[in-house]
Amino acid sequence: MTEVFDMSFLKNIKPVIAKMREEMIRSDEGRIYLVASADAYGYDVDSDYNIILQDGSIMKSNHSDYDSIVKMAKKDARNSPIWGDF
Amino acid sequence: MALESVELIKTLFSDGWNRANTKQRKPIIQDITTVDPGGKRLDLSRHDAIVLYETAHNEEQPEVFYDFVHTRINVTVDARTVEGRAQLMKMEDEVRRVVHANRKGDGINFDRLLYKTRTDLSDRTKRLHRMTFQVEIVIFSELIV
Repeated sequence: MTEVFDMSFLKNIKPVIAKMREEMIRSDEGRIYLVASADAYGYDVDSDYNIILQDGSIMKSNHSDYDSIVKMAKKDARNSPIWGDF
Repeated sequence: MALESVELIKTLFSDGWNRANTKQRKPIIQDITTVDPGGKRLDLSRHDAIVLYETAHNEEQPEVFYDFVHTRINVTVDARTVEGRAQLMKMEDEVRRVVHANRKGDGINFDRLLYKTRTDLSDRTKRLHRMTFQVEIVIFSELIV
């Protein structure tokens, strides 16, 4: 007997997985993407997922580099191999 | 004993990188966990950089045998330069060349090396040209000790 599966649900789940991967930059699993992105701009990330400026203070969300760092980290995380290939 | 994944990729790129393919600029190749915080962008004005970090490590159980696993390790290869888009493209070609040159493994540490996806993370307002590549190390039938 041959069963035909409707695989169209995969199309709907793909953006959900991508969003989950983006959000995981502030988790232990995905922190490395935030670290790598901040590192490219010359900053570090602490254990609470705050971006740390060179003087040791926490970068505020209105800093000129903040949005770029987070955006790049999310873009990198979206292509993460975690939870398989989609 | 087999090399750890990031150390392995670092060795492959350090030994295999042909600077003639990247305008005589050989990048600094480093594990992100060993980088001192702060001031890295200043280094990019003198050197290109390849930063490595492990992003996934999975073990699969073969169906028949209890004592072996297949291991797949994903390492992100993060190429950075401030020398322009053309230089980044040269680095991309060289990353791809080195990965494919080692696709069959080394017979000691790993069995396959796969070039998977790439993501452009350039920020032109900062003159930062950056591309990340997912590279997968595959080890077949590793004995569980």
